[in-house]
Amino acid sequence: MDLEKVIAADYCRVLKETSKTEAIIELAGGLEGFSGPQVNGDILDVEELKKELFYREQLMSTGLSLGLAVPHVRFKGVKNPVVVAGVQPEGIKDYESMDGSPITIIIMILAGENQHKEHIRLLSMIAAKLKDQELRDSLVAAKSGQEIYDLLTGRAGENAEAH
Amino acid sequence: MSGFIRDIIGQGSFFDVNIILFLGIILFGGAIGGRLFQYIRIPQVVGYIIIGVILGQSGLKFIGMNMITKLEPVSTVALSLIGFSIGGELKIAELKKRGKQFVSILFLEALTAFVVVGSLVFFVSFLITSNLNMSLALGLVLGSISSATAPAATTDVLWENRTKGPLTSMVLGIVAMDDAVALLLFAFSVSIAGALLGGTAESTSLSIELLGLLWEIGGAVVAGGFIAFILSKLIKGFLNEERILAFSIGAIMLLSGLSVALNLDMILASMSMGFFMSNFAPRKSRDTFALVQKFSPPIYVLFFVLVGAKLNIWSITGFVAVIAGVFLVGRTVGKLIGSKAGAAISKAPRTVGKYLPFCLLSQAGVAIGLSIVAGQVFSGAFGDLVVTVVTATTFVVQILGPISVKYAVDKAGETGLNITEEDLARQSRASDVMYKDIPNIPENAPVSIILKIFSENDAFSFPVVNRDGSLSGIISIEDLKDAFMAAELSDFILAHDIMSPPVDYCLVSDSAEDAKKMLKKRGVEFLPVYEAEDGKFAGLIDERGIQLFFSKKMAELNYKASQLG
Repeated sequence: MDLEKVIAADYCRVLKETSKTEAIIELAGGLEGFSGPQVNGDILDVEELKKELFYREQLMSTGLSLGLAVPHVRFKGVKNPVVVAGVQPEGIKDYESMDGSPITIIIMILAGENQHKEHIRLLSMIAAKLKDQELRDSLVAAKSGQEIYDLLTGRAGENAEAH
Repeated sequence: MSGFIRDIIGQGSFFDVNIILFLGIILFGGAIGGRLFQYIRIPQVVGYIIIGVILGQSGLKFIGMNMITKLEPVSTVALSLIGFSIGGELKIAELKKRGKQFVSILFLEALTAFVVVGSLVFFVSFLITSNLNMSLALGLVLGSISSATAPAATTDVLWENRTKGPLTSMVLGIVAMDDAVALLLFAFSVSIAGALLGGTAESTSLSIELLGLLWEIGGAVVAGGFIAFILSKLIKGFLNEERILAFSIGAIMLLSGLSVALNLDMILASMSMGFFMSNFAPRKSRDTFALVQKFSPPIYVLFFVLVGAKLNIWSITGFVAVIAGVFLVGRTVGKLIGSKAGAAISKAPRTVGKYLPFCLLSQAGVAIGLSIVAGQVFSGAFGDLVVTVVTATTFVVQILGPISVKYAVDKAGETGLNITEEDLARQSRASDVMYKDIPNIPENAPVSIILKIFSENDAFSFPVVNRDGSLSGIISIEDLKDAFMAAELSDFILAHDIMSPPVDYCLVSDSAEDAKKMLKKRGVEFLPVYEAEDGKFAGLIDERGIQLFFSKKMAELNYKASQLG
């Protein structure tokens, strides 16, 4: 699966909030008004999405290690996967990550209700990609949503070479 | 309005025009009779016949003699279908296995009935009439007729009760074949009786009689085999059920029509067709037999109602009653001694010797047919006597016969052993076929725990429950497979992440057939089962679990049948 196709560039952001709940609300809330082929032309139900995300966090925190968190849900209104990313350079200390480290990068995955394979594949892909410390460092240092998008999709390198 | 009713109750002329309404009434009435009798645990066929008796010659005369004649083709088709189905159940392997038992029982039960009825009728008739020749002739003719056993009512009970086992095989074989023995004995007897009665008989010589018999029996076997060959070639490539059904029914009707035209034994011909198809094209013919079985019931109902309607119990005089009583007792005793002796000599399984006599009481088409032939050969009082005696006794055994067959197969333990998967699906509930004792997976269980549950249990799918214990989804092996794509995250991916939400559900009281249909219709691998609408979650159903249950049940039944001998 091509990350470029699933990451919503306009919705990636540098987060203001520093607590887990608020940060998730900020990132998910940023999707307010999201519409497009991924949601079959409808408008994403953000309130319902937040509920689902928190339900999942209740079962077990989605904070991995190395400062990375991947909140993820399979969600009714979604037809094709949507990925949004946010960074918080200060670190979110109450995220309850696996290694106890504060979370600096949140990559949120929304997949369709029946997209079992896509869902797991994206999870696996993002976990693998973010093992790269250089990429993580660049992400945490990013100043804008566009920069985050460029870094995740590998465009940052292309752009640098072009310059 | 009153004119309309008078039309109906009166001459029946209204129904001469509206034969469909007439057929509807007998079919519906017969079916109701069958159901009513099933409630009181008497074979449905008795119900059909009694409705016939009530509506027919002995009762309301609603079904008039001219209508019975008009509907003769229905009986022809019904007998052909019955013959075809019996032939299909005669498997060469089974015949080889029971060949010796079969032959000794067949000849002994037929011959003993002939001898016992023949001598008893002779003695009683001679005592009453002091007419030696007439008594001898009557003994011979009635004796030979008494050897015949009717397959229709007997096999209807076997099919209704899904029987299987040595007794069932033996009954099917005997009722199928003893008509041939009866025809043979009848031919001999009529020739001798003709000589005894002198000028009254229009009988021909014995050798010509025998030649005619050879044609009637041999021709029937050959014709049946020929049509079977053509039909199995024709339907070889067919997958479409309706087309197979149309060709099969067409072929059966063709054969019975030909048999009537060529003066062949019709039941034997269709039996031979069924026999050849099931033994030489077994795979394809299985569909054919299943389809014909499905198609037949309404024709059988009509047939048996007409059998009842034809019987006239008011035409019985004192002498007829005595002879009929003697015939009944002699026939029952003869068949009893003959089949017991045959079973003992050939070392047949215990249940065969013990219960076969109960299954040989029925007499119908062939016996009545032979009596009518006798009535034509010996026109006058003698012929009428034979016809009335056979009709009267047929009345009794048609009603008692099925009941005693039911008793025998129940006692022999063969009831319900011949169940197909379709029967099982109809009879079982969702609660029978679901996985009940499989563990629930909590929503927050990680893949490593889920894997452990899968490896320790038999099922291929498991329910996922939330903290309140109510069902939130199901994990199938397919879902679990997806999780392997992210093996390194196996402690991080939870049941909640990979489960599928239930698309639909069924209730414990639903039939397994409905559950199976719903699985197919929904295109899902499994369905949750609930105690009631909005009730507790009870278990899971999937195709494999249903199949497992059926296979186990069928194996049990087959084992039971094989234990019988």
